[in-house]
Amino acid sequence: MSKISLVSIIDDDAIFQFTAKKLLKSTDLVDQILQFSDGEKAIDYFKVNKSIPENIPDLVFLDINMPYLDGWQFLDELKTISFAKELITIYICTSSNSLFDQQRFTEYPNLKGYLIKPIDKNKITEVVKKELGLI
Amino acid sequence: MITSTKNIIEESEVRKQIKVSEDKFQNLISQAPVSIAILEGSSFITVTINKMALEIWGKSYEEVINKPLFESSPELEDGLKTILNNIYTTGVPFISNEIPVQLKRIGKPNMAYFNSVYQPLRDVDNKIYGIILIGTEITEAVNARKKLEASELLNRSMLESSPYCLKILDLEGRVQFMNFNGLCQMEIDNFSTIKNINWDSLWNSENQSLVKASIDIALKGETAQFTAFCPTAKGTPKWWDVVVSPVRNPGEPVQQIISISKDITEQKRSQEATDKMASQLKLATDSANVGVWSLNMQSQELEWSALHKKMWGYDGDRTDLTYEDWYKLIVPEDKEMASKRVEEARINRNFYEVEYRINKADDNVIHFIRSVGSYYYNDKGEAVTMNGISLDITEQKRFTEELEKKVTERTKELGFKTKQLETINKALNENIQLVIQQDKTIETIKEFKFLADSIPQIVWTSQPDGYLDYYNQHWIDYTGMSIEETQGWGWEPVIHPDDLQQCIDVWTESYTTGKPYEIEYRFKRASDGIYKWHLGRALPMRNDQGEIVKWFGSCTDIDAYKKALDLENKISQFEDFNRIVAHNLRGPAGSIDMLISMLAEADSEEERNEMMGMLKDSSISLITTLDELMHVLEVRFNKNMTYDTCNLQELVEETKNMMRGQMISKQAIIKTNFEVPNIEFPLIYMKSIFYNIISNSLKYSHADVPALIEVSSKKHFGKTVLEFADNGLGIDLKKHGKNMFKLNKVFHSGFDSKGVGLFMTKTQIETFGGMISAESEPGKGTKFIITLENV
Repeated sequence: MSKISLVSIIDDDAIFQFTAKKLLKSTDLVDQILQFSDGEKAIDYFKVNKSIPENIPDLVFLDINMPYLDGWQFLDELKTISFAKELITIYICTSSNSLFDQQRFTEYPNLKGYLIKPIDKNKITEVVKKELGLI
Repeated sequence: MITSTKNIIEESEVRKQIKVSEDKFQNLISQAPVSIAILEGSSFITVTINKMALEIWGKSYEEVINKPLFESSPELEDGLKTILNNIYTTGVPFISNEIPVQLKRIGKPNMAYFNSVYQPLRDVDNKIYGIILIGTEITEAVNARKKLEASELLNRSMLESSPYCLKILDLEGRVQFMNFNGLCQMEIDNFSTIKNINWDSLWNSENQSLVKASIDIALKGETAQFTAFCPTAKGTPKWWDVVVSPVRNPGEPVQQIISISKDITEQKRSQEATDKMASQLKLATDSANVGVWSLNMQSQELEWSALHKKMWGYDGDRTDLTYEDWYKLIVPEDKEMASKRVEEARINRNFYEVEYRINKADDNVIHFIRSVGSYYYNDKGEAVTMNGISLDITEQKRFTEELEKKVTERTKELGFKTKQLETINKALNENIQLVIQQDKTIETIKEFKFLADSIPQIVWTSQPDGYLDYYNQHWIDYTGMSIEETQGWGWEPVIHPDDLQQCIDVWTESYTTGKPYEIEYRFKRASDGIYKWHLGRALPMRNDQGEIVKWFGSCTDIDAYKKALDLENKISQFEDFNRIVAHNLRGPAGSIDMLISMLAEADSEEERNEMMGMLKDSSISLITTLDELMHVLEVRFNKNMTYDTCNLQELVEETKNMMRGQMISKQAIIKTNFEVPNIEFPLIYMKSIFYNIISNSLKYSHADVPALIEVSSKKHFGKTVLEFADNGLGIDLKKHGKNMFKLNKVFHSGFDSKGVGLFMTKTQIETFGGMISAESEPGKGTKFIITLENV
């Protein structure tokens, strides 16, 4: 059974990082997990590794409300980087059920989905399986 | 044999003859009146030299004979060596004439002149073996010629140096020579034009016979003299004094005639002028009432003109009048002064000029006299006569006095009038300027009013003292009041009661200080009684002196804008609230939910404990955020909280105390400048605002630079502006501007910040009708500007 080689969680909430990592591992469909506590750290990493495809994650869970560089700003910065890897699947993953944020989500057509926390095991398994083309 | 003997005899005979001839040659040479020397060989050995040559060289026979020439006479080497070498090698003879040679004849240095010929000597094979030098003395001839030249030169230079026009005529009376000065005086450019011309033909026809006669006299050996008029070649009229003399040696016939003409035109003219002047003087003295007198110093005899006598009041025909008759009429007070002047003139030998009074003999009237005179001296330097003139200056004196008096009066009068005129002029000018200015102003105002009436906005003007003297049509339409009702002031019925006092304050400040006027207030619309927000603005118009002549004001309806702004504020606040709920409340709540669902699946007791810890953190975070939100809502709900008088300086001191630790560690300095010392605001919020902004500045300061925070307050367009400026890290406003005051926004890595402070500050300020904005540049600092409505 094939696995996703690299998944990244970008979120300043340590509890979410902990729970999400645990859930991802429990699916047994993920090889490695790359964690960033804010958008700025994440974008720095992407910039440095842009030409090394194996270092760029296949799947990203991105929080919106973060210090320094929030989720939207992260996405804007990301657009300016040209990657060796063609496709990165990004899910917004936020506690906000605000209509403003959901409206904003539609302005980024390249996003795969908008997940509202809390996220349970079923939800995360569904996302991973989708990514692997199992569903 | 016989033949041979004979031959021998013949030979010796021949030799004898040769010897004789050689001796003769030597003798000849030594006696010759020329200098001869024969040099042989390339070193020019003197083999033969005669007495004269020795004399020229200044050597004795023994000194030079059989010796190379330049050894015996090295002094000759310079001039002679190249010449001799040249002859010796090329065979070309050298000839030169009149060579000066310094000779010592009879012990005396003597200048002699020679013509020299140096010729090569050739043997039978035509080969040059020597040079013969032959010199002929021509000293006498040269000297004679020089003497002649000198005398001719002398003659010529004498003739030329004469200042007169000098001519030499031949016996026929034709001009042979004229000197340079003569040519100049006669204005003749080229002597050849008159050479050989009969002298008399140069004169006017009426003088030609006179000239001819003078030549005849000279030919007879006598000297003739005449004065005549003769224009120059160019027609300049000139008078000449001419002397014509014969040139001859004593006892010999006349050879030439010399004529010397002296230009006497100037003399002639001055003579004529003098004559003319004398007659004119007589005329002048008589007609000018000038008395002429002459006193003989020895006899004390006085000659004075008839006019002079009359001047003194005597009969002009009297002849018996003496010096005493003249002197006695001088008034006693002036006598000493007059005598003194006359005496001074005698000693100094110059003119005297004196004024004195006389008491006229006939009518005893005092007259003023000016007397001018001088002494005349004989050859021995003795004063012989004293001559002078006297002038009656009484009338003149009176006239002058009168004139002076009048001039003084007129000057005084004129001065006064000029002053008056200046004053009037100045006033006039000022008036004109004023009128021009007024005209301009009126024009401007007329134009302005025309424009003003045609725009859908309230426009008004005011006098410098704040008296409103014009409203446009729109004001009348909007307020429903007539011009008369609102003339001067009359805004009370129109303006919202809450805005009235501020309006009066701001306007008063503007027109008293000249500060541009800007204020927001509500005006009641006459048609429906609704108050609408207006932005009032006014600017002063100044004249050339910078004085305010008029205020131009406008009131723009900003009601829609105000409402939109209000709505935007509300939306913004709603957005903020929504965000807080969405992120800050839902975040920890979501975590709690996830943790609880995972608890059941925990792998171990250890993991379960870890999750329990996280659960606790999440619930604390949830409660904290809820508390903060409660605070924010509290602020909102407490909109009607009572205002306190907040002393800004006290607030700074209090904040400093609260943050003492951070202040010290950041080496912070807070400077204050409060133009407005107190502001009306709920005190606890203002404390919170000060705390949040100052702690923000301290937190985001440069590590290596002491923090400087400047807090100031001022009035700006009727509002109070509170500013906090720091020298800290600053914020990239392009990136973060919109999020600046949002909850949980943090803009700098590595600082402990929850981002609550500025959100709270904003909420507090906006709830009480204020505004907060920020200016910042990364690395340079941040400035927070709080604008508060006056309460």
